[in-house]
Parts: sequence; structure tokens; C-alpha cells
Amino acid sequence: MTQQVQKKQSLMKAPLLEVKELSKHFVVSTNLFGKPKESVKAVNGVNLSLKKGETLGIVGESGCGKSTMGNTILRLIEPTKGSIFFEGQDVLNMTSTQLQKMRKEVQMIFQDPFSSLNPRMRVFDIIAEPLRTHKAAVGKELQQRVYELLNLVGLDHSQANRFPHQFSGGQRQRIGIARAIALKPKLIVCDEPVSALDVSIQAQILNLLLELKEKLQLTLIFIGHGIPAVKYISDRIAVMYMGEIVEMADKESLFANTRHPYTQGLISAVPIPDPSLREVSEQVILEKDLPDQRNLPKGCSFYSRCPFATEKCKGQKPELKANEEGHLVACHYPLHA
Amino acid sequence: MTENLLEVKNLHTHFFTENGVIPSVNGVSFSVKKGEVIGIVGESGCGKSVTSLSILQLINKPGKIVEGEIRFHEKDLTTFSEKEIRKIRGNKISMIFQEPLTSLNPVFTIGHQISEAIRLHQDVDKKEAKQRSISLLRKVGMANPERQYHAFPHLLSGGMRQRVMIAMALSCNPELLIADEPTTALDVTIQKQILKLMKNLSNELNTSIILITHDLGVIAEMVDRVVVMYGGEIVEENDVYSLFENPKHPYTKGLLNSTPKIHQLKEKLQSIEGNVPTPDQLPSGCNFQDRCPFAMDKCRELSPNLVASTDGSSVRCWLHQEKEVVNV
Repeated sequence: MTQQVQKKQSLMKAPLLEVKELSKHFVVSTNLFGKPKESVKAVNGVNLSLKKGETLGIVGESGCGKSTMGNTILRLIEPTKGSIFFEGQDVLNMTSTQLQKMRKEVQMIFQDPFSSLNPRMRVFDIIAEPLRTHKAAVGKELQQRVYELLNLVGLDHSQANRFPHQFSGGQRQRIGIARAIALKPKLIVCDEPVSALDVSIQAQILNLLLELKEKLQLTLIFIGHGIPAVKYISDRIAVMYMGEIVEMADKESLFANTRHPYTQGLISAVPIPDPSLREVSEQVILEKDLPDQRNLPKGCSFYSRCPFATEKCKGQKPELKANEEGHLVACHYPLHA
Repeated sequence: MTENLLEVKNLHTHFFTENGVIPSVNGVSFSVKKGEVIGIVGESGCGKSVTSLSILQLINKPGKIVEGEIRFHEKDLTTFSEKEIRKIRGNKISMIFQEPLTSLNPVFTIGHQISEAIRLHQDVDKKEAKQRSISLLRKVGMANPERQYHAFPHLLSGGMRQRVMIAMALSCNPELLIADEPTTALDVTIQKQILKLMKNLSNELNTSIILITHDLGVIAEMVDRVVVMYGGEIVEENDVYSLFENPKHPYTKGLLNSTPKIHQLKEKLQSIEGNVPTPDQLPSGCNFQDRCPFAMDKCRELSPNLVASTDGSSVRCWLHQEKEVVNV
């Protein structure tokens, strides 16, 4: 009981990360005078706030802007509009020294463990690199720290002198995780960290992330298109569609009281690994593909695929609004209202 | 429904590389009945794709089918010449691959590519082939097929490309469709559309399907019978309901337990320890012994046989060896 109260209290504190009206538009073509003519709105006015110790899952189909958003939060991509606050500091207006300090606290784990590790570097150097760059440790201490990190992610320090190609996919992802936690960051953005892995290995990595989160008191943003995996690891989930958050709620609430038709379609599309539920499971099949992102519909971006769309949806964009329980949804006619 | 359309018997496909022989598939036997949908499930390197490529005789050097029979309508495909097999491939047996962008030719229109398959196997003129292609595109749910007929692959989305692949695979009303991870590269919503399409077509045309995937969810929704592969061998085979209800092999159990489930409350996922082995680094004895929580001394020394029991299931494990041996 007391633990729960303590957990609640710590969650009440100021947010670790706050994202306001974040947009990233990629210019596709320009007119004669170099002004943008057409642009893809990869991220379009996203608001987020992340409490310390929380795991926020972000789901959506490919092209919905979830990875772009992750990259923008780390300022790996400069946003077009909006602001990002990390521990109250404005990330977009930081000096380079401030930014370097911030980068120590925010790390990233990438999707593809095959291309995110330098094939010419030994595992020791891959993990030691952030420690060296930020002058966190040298000499014996550095070696000890790297061995400690290897241990933490379930690898043996005798493997430190090997190259990435000598490891399997799951082991490589462990190396990527060791590198990400080397500087004891506060926030880690995980961009599809398990989608390239085999089923039996996915569970290992998910459990490792959960374990490390507890041990190191991490805050995670977990981006993924595998909805069961995101559900397993997250406390709160944001559903993105065409660069916007269409629904965001606690995990339990999102699945039990789904309010956006898109979320409903997305959830019911996930194949259930139980053949006895084959006939019973309700099926809401989303027809058609994603619309062209260069000319989004004026109203609700989900209008063209929504089974419940009306004239109002076509003309007027719904805002992201919360109900009493804090369940956010951007829909004129939310389900379970 | 009773007649076996395809029978794979004791298939061994090995790759002869500079670093030695890699036994990718080692004694795989299974059969597919008319109209049946069977699923082959396993992780990377377990030999599921090599098995499917072997059926169509698409194994290139340094790979070779070293032993075994592949009987399609009672005829052994391994003895066919290249010319004979071409009459079967894409006609009686067709295949859908994982990545629809790389399996379509980027410099021809999709219509051209579907018509090509039709004209290759059927005695029809260009006009007729075009008509058939358009009606196939309509059947797989392409909007405006007359216009899409002239589209190049890069203009289509992933889901649409996969529909084109299915249209092409169905162009000659195949008796057997081999789908190798047909939806892995697609989003869940599109996956749902494609799976539903495949299911409907198989019901309508009574086509048998071999569905190869690593996704147990897809297996649970689609297939009648499941073959679980590990390290180039079949470790368990059963009908889909029994397999999910009562998995026998520790690997099957591990796979089921390590799959996160959307409809269940959070409980800790059980993962399988260790790493997925590549075919050249399998342990001695049972292939799974170094990752198996129940491994005994016997498992480290002797490899178990695939044993069939009276209820129609078979399993390769020392924990289930009391019954009669069918396959040596």
C-alpha cells in the first residue's frame, strides 16, 4: 500500500519531459522562389508530458510519425514548430554546452541492432564511447564500468573484445542497451527495439528493459508497432495517426474503454494467439491504406477510413480532449462515451 | 479433403559453403491435404524458408537437396527437370514472398507482370490475359483495377503490392499456395486485410496453403494444422486447437509463453533462455537441449525422434517418447 502511495506521490511531481505543439514538416517540393509548395506533415502539433519513472508507449502504423517524433525529442531532427522542455529547460533554445549535457541524460535505443552498431568497433569501445565522449570515466574505472554494464545487460565481460558480427540479434540489442544506459540517463527513447528480433528473444529484451527501468529508475518512451509488446511494457499509451495523437490514456483504460475508432481498428487487427477465440473476437477491419500525407483531409485525419464518419468529421478537426478519468481522445463521436 | 496433395518425405537440404556443410533442413516430413491450410512456425534459421524453397526446387548453389522426396500429386518433384518444374511453378504451386517490393520487377507495370504469368502457363492471347489480370486485381480488392493495371510497383503501398503478389500467385488457380511471411513487412491493419483475403480465396477456390511465419497470432487465426520447426527439424506437429491448448514440446511452450498477449492482463513474460542457434552451431544431442529448462543427461547425448501419438500429434522430445516410432 505504502509503496503505491509513494509511487503516486513521485508521479505527482513536475514532468520530466514536456512537449508542446511539436510539429515537423518535411518539404517535398518548393516553388520558384524556394518557398515550400508541398510538405509532408510527419508530426503535427503533438502535446505530451512524461512523468518521472513512467513508460509511455507510442503506437501507430508505419508513416504515422512516431519515429520522427522520437528523433525530434532528442533533437536529432530539428522540429519545424513547437517546444520541448526537459526537466524544465527549453531543449530547442539550448547552447551547445547545455545540449551536450542534456544528451547525457537522454539516450536512444534503435530498431535495427545490425546497423546501429559500428561493425569495425569492438564491443568494449562501443560501450565505452559515450563514457569517453562525456569524460565520465578513464583507465581502470572505464574498464570496470564497461564490464559492469555488460553484466547488467546479461553479457559476459569475456565477450568485450569481440566485434558486433560475432553476436546474434538479441545479443546485439543488449549491446545497444548497454551503450544507452552507460551514462546513467534519465530518459531513454526506444525506437522499435524488439521488432527486428525473434519471438523468444523479444521477451528477453522486454524483460531486460523492465528490469533495468526498475533498477536504474529510468523513464522510457517506447515506440513500436507491435501492440502486444507496447502494452506489455508501457504504463500509458499514445496512439498516433498521421502525425497526430488521436488517443492517449493509461494502458488499462485504453484497452478496456477504447474511445477512438482508429484505436479500436488497430487493436482488433492484432492477431490473437489463441485459436479458440478465432470466431468470437470482434472484428473491426480498417479498410483502405493510409491517405496521402501531402494533402491531408481538412477535417479529421481519420475521416477517409472511419466507419462512423459524418459531414462534421469532414469539415471540422476534432481536438484532443480528456474525459473525467483523463482519457484523451480526438474524435467528435468517441466510443464508450 | 482426405487426399494428400503434397507430401514432403525426409527432406534434407544442405548448403555447401567454404566453411563446411550447413545442414539447414534435416529430415523434414509433412503432408498437405487438399484445401488444408497448414502453418510452419519457427524462428530465424530454423529452416522454414529453405523448406518452402525446396518444395519449388528454388534452392540454388551452394545449396542442394541431398535426400528426400517431395511428392506432389504422387509425383516426386525432386526428379523433375528444370523444364518440367517450370510447368508446376507459378501454375499448380505458387508462392508469395515476404517483401513485396523486391519480388516485383520495378521496370514493368504490375499488369504486365500478372499477364506474363498467365500467358506463360495458359494458352491465351494478350487481350484475354489483360482481361483476366484486371479481374484478378478486382478480386484481391484493388480499387480501380483498369487504371492500376498500368501502375508501376513503386507507386503502390506495401499492402497493395502484396495484393498484386497474391493476384499473380492466383493467376493460374494454383492447387497449392506457399506464403512465406506474407504479412511480416506490413502494418497490422493491412495484415488483417491480407490474411482475410487469403482465407476467403482459399475457401472459395479450395486452394491449399502453406503459411510460413514466426507470428503465433497469425497461425492461431489462419491455419488448420501447425508444424513447429527448430534447428532444421520438426519438433512438434498438431492441429491448431490442440497445439495452443496443450503444447507438448518445451520449445513450443516457450514460444507460446514468450508471446505478449493483448487480451490478457500483464503477467511476466517467460522468455526462452539463450540465443536462436544458426544451423552450423547446433548442440549435440537434442537441438534444443542448451535452451531447454527440462534438459536431462539423455538429451545432451542422444537426439530424440519425432514420435507420433494416436491423437494425430507428433513431438520430438525425450519427455514424450513412450509411443511408437514412425520416422527414423
